Amino acid sequence: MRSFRDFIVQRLEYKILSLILVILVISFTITFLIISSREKQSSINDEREKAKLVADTIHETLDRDMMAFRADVVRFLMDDLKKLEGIKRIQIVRGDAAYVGDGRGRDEAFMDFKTLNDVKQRITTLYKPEWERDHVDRKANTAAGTDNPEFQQYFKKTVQALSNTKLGVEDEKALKRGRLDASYFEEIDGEQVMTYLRPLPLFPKCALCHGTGYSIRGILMISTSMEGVNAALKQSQRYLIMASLGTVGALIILLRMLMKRVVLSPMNNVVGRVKAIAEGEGDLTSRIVVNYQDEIGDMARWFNKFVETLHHIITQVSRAAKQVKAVSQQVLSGTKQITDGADVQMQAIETTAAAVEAVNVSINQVASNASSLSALSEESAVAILQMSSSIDEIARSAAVLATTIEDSTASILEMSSSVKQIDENVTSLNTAAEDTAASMTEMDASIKQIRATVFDTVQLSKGVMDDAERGRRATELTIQGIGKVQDYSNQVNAVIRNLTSRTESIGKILNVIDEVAEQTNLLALNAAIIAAQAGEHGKSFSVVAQEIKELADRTATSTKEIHGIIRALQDESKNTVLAINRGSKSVEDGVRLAGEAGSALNKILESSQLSTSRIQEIARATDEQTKGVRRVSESMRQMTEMVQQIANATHEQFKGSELIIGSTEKMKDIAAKVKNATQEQSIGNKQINEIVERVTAQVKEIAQSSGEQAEESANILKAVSEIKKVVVQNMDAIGKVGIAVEELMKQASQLSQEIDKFKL
Amino acid sequence: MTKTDGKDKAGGLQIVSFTIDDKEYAIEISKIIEIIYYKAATALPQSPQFIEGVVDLRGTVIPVLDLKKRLRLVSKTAGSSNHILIVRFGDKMVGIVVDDVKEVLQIEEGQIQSPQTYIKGGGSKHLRGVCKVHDQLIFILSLDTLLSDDEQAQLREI
Repeated sequence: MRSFRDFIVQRLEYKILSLILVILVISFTITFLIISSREKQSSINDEREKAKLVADTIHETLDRDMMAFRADVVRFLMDDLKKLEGIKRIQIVRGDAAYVGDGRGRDEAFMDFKTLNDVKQRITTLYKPEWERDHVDRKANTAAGTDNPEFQQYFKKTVQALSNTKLGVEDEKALKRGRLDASYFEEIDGEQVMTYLRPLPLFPKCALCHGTGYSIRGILMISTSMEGVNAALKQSQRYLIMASLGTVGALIILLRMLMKRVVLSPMNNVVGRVKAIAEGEGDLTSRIVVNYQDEIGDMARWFNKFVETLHHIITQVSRAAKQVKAVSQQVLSGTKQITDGADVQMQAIETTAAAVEAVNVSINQVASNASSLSALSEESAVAILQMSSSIDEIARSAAVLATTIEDSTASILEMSSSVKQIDENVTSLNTAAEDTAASMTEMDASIKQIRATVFDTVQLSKGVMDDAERGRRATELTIQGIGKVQDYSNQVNAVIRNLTSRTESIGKILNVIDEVAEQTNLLALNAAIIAAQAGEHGKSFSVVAQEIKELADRTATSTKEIHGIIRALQDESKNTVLAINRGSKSVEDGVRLAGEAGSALNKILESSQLSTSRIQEIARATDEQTKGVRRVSESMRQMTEMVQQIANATHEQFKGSELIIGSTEKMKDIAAKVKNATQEQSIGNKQINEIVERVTAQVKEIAQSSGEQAEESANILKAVSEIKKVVVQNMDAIGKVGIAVEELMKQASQLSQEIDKFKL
Repeated sequence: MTKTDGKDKAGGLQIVSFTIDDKEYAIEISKIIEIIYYKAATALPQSPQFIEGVVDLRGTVIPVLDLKKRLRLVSKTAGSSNHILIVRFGDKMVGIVVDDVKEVLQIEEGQIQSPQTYIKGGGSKHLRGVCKVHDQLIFILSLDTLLSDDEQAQLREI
C-alpha cells in the first residue's frame, strides 16, 4: 500500500488520474441512488394504479349488477380475478354490524350464506335461483390478512368516517374515484405484496335488500405481488452500475492518452533538456528548444532566461575572482609598504608631538595677546559709539535747522504774502482815505445845512413856546368864562323852577274858577228848565238863566284859554330847564376840556422849552462838529499822504521780501544738503560702529578660540601620544593582515580554477 | 205850578240837548225835572238789564237807566258820563245817564223831521224826531216809547 501511494505521489500523471477517478465515482454513486429511488417510487405508483383500476372495475360491477339483483355475477367476477397473474389476493371483507363481533371486519363476502339468507328473508318475491349456483359455504369464514394491524386501523377509521353520515350522489362518485382508498405493504407466503383497500359504503339504494343499521357494506381488498416490480428494479440497478463503471474506465483511459499527449510529453521534453544541461558539466551555453505556448512553454522560456542570467553572473564572478587575485597581490605588496610607512609614521608622530608642544606654547601666547586686543577693541568701540552719538546729535541739529529754515521760509513766505496783502490794503486804504476826505467835505456841507436848519428850528420852537403860552392864558380865561356861564345858568334854572311852581298855583286857581263856572252852568240849565216849566211866568227868569249860563260859558272858555297859556308856559319852562341842563352839561364838558387843553398846552410849553434847549445844544454840538470835521479833514489829508508813503515803502518791502525768499530758498537747499550729509555720515558712523562691534566680537571670539586652541593643542598632545600607541598596534595588525592577504590570494586562485570549469 | 207840555204859543218847542259818545241827543224840557252831576249808581239785585242801579236824590231813591245799553249804542270814542238827567216817567222819576248836557234849545215844530228820513227799521220807534241845529243833527228821544210796556212795568215795581 505504501509503495502504491509512493508510486502515485511520484508521478504527476497518476495524481491527476486518481483525483478524476474519485470525483467520477462519487458523482456516479449519487446519480445511481437518485435514479433507483425515483424508479422504485414510480413502480410502486404503477402498482397502485393497477390495483385501483381493478378496484374500480369491481366497484362498477358491484354497483350495476347488485342493482340488477345479480350478486352471483360479482361472486364469479371475484373468482375469475383471483386467477389473474400478479394478483395474490382479492376479497371483500364484510362491514355489516351483524357480522362484526369485536368491532373488527373478519368475514369474507360470498363465502357463506349469511347475506343471502338475510336477503331472502327481506325480499321473498324476488328470489332468483342463480344466487345459489356454485355458492361456497365455508363453515369458519375468516378473510385472509384481516389480522394485519394496518388493515384493522384502516377499518376502524373508515367505519368511523362513514357512520352517522348521509351520503349523497357526489359522495358516491368521490368514493368511486378513491377518496377514502389506502394501501400498504405486507408479505404473503414470503412474498412482498401491496394491499389496496377501498370502502364499499351502504348507499340508500342498497337498503332494499340489505337493510340499514350499519354504515359500510364491506371493504374491497386487492393484494398484488411486488416480485415482478422488485426483479425489474434489481435488473435496472445492475445495468446502471455496469454502465457507470464502463464509462469511468473509458474516461480514465481517454484522459491518460490525452494527458500524455498534451502535458506529459512536453514536460518530459523540458525535463530532459534541463537534465542534459545539469549533466552537461556546467554547459551554460546550451538552451531548451521551446514549442509550446502554455505554462510548460513559459517554464522552459523562463528556465532559458535563468540559465542566461546565471551565465552572465558566472562570467562576472570569474572576472572578479581574477581581479581579486590581482588585488590580493597588490594588497600584499601594499601591506609591506604600510608596514614600512608605519615605521616612518611612528617617527613622524614623535616629531609631531614635539612640534605640537611648541605650537601649544605659541598658542597660549596668542591667546593672551587676543585678550588684550579684545580689551582695546572694546575701548575703541565705546569711543566710536560716543562719536556716533555726537554725530547723531549733529544730524538731529541739522534736521532741526532744516525744519527751522523751512519754518522761517514759510514765515517769510507768509510775510511776503502779508506784505502783498498790506500793499493791496494800503492801496484800498488810500482810496478809502480819499473817499473819506470827500465824504468829510460833504459832511461839512451837511453840517452847515444842519446848523442853519437848527437855527430856524430854534426860532420856530420859540414861536411855538410863545403861542403855547398865549393859548394857556386864553384857556384860563375860557375856564373862568365858562364858570360864570355855569353860575348864570344855575340862576336861570332857579328862576324857571320858581316860575313853574307859580304857574302850577295859577292852574289850581283856574281849576277852581272852572269848577265854579261849570256849576254855574248847571245851575243856569236847571234854572232854565225850571223857568221853562214855569211857563209864561218864568220867561224873564229863563232869560236871566240864559245870561248866567252864557257868563258861565264865557268864564269856562277864558279859563280854558288861560289853561292853554299856562300849559304852554309850563312846556316852555320845562324845555328851558332841559336846555339849561344840557347847557350846564356842555359847560361842565367845556370846563373839563379847557382844563385838558390847559394841561396839554402846559405840556407843549414844557416840551417846546425842552426842545428849544435841546436844539440849542444841537446847535452848539453842530458847531463843535464842524470844527471836528475840519480837524478830521486835515487829519485825513495827512493820513492820505502817510498812506501814500506807506504804499511806497510797502512796495519796496515787497521787492525786498522777494529777494529774501530767493535767499531763503537757497538756504533751505543748503540746509537740506547738510541734513542729508549728516544723515549719511550718521549712517556711515552706524556702519562703522557695527563693524567695530563685529571686530570686537570677532576679537573676543579669537581670544576665546585661542583659549580653546590652547586646550585643543593640549588635547592634540594627548592624542598624538595615543596615536603613537595606535600606530604600534597598527603595525602588529599590518603584520596579521599580510598573513590574511596571503591566505586570500590562495583562495582567489582556487576560485579562479573552479570558475574556469564553467564553459563560458 | 201849571202843568205844560213845553210848547209855547208860537208852537215852538224847548229841548235840552246832551251828548252820548259824541252823538247829540235831546229831550223835551218839560219831561226833565232836574240835572245833577253823575254819581255812581248802587246796583240792585235781580234788576233788569237796562237798569244800572239806583241813586239817592235828597232822600228819594231813583232808578237810573243806561241809555248806551238801552239804545245799544256802540261807539269807538266812549265819552265820560258826567251828568244824570232826572226825568218824569209817568208818575215816577227816572235818572238817565248822559255824557254832557249841552244847552236849552228853542226849536220850531217845522224844524222837526220824521226819524224815518234818516233811520230805517225798528230803531226809529224810540225817537220823536230829528232836527238840525247849527248844522248838527239832534235826535229827539221819545220817553214814552223808549221802554216797552213790560219794561215800564218792571220799572214801576222798583
